[in-house]
Amino acid sequence: MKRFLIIFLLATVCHIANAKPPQILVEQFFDGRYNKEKTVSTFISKENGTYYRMLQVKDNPAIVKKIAETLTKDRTRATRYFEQTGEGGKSTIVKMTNNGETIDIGFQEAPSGKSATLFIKGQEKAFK
Amino acid sequence: MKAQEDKLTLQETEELCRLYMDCKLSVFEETELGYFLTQVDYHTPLIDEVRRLMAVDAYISDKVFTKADSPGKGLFKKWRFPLSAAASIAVIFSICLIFLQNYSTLENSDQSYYVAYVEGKRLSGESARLQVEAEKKSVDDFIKEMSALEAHEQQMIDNFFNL
Repeated sequence: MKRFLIIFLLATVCHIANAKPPQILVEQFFDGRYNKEKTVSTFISKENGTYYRMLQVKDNPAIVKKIAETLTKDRTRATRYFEQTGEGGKSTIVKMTNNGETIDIGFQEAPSGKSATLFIKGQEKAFK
Repeated sequence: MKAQEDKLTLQETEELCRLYMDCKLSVFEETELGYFLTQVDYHTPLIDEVRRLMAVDAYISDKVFTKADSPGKGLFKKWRFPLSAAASIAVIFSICLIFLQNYSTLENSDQSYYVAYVEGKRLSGESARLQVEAEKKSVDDFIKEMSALEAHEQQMIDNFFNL
């Protein structure tokens, strides 16, 4: 009986750990901290089982830098990522897979480093 | 018993003990003899042997009695762990059920929503939806553009290795 209980608890813990949603660090920027910030615009939607979160920063290099650093940490857990630097600035796309679904994280930084756009897009299932 | 105590002599007691050893006494008579032996001071090898055997019997009886006397305690001991395990499992499932119910309620409470904050001001209703829809389109375009770029880069790498 003790063995059964231990196995049951381990199975429960494994299931919880397995079902744990992916911890996307850049998600923190959508917690409402910039809702009153005039240099930032935030857009969030959920429609037909798809989540969109977008953040536009204009003339605020501190926030842009913070987002870029956080995305670098997220990149280490990406299943795929692609980065392109050109005249229009730096564009990055990071893909994460969870529950068989892909989460796209995009970041576009202006050459000046003062403005940027961040987004997270994915099926609802991917965030569970 | 007091009368018997007065009447039985050493020889009679020995005779009873002999019968006891031969298993000729009934349970009631054995009990009477046991009590009698505690009341008299007769000592012979046979009587002492019977006393010793009865003490063992009494000890065994005590043990049996003790076990039978506390069925609740024994039962509790036997079922304590399964009951504890069942209670723990029930608590875990209850917590999971409550969590899942709350979570599904939260998920289903708002099938579609649009939130938009532009330059520190919250947009509401249709204007929020239109603004978000426009941004969604730009996001989808960005993803398509990046996928096309990635595919192109991959093609270039493949071509390089196939040269």
